[in-house]
Amino acid sequence: MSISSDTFLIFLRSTLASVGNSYAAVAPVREAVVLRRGWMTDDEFAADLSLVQAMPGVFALNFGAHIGRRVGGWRGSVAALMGTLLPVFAILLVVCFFFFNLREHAAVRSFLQGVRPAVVALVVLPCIRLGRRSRITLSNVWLPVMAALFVGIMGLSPVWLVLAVAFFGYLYGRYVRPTDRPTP
Amino acid sequence: MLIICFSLLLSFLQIGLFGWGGPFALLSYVQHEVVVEHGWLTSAEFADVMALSRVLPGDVALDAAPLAAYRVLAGEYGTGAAIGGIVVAFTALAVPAFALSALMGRFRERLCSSDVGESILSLLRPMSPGLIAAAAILLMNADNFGSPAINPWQFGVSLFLFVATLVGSGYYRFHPLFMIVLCGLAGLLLY
Repeated sequence: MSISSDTFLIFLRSTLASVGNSYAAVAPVREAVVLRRGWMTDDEFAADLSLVQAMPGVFALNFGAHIGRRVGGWRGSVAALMGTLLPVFAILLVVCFFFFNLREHAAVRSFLQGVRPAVVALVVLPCIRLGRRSRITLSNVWLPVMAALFVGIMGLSPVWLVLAVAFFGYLYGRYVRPTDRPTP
Repeated sequence: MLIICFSLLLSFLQIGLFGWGGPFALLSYVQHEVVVEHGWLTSAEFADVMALSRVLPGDVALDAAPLAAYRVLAGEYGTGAAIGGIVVAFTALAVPAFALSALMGRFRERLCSSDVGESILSLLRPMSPGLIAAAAILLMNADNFGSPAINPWQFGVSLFLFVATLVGSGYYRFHPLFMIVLCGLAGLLLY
């Protein structure tokens, strides 16, 4: 079997196993790519994983594209993306046919009415957890507050916000930061 | 139909290219495009997709994209068009991942260990919890909690279930899916 079709199958299987949480695909892919095939070392895989986590976009797709490229060049990248997207496509196609009709059903409707507040709470929790971990101090607390205000209340696009902040960071790093470092 | 497909393409391309901040922060990007900007899904439908995606493979973004495409295209243009829309949305999400995987390997050193890279990241990193908060704020509306004026019973029950999930999952570490099913059963009983 060629590396591409093998990669395709690895990601197909891992995606199907990653129910509810795309990070759950990491362990089976690591097992297949590092331990069973020996295509990468464990350190390479860990380095790639931390890089993927810092990338913009959908984690599952970045993960597939990146690991796929490592093991099989651009063909591997495409194969891994296909392997990730195909099961989601197939399952969601079935879900689409039922989802909107089922929501109108009386029992389902009251079930979902109970579920929605829980779903919101499950977004608030990672916000608190991440806020504690990301060392927010008085000097940068304006960044998350601004993000919540602009995007959550005023309805601005987070894309523009992130681009503006990144541009600001670029200007700072390019022109200000080199000058306020102590000269040796 | 072409216009809808084009705006699907543009929206999910933006998310794929600039959706920075991790899976939960990504919710704010997807919500902004799908609910606030284009109204492809209502806020309640989006919350339902989030619940559903806990039992489906893949990220919430991957689950919301096809449902949004289907919702906006199937009724008016038929199932074939909807499937085309889903393919467009998936392609728009996958192409940036493919392109970035080619670029990132090459620029990794320059990005992570330079003045510019470091100062960009030091400003972007604290944004992430703010974006998650924005996603939560966008969900806190009458669609999902009921309005205290029109439907006080639903509003009260919703607040209770909200706090119960915060405590149950945050403090007692119950599995999120368990809390979701529990709240659903409570809804079944109380509404």
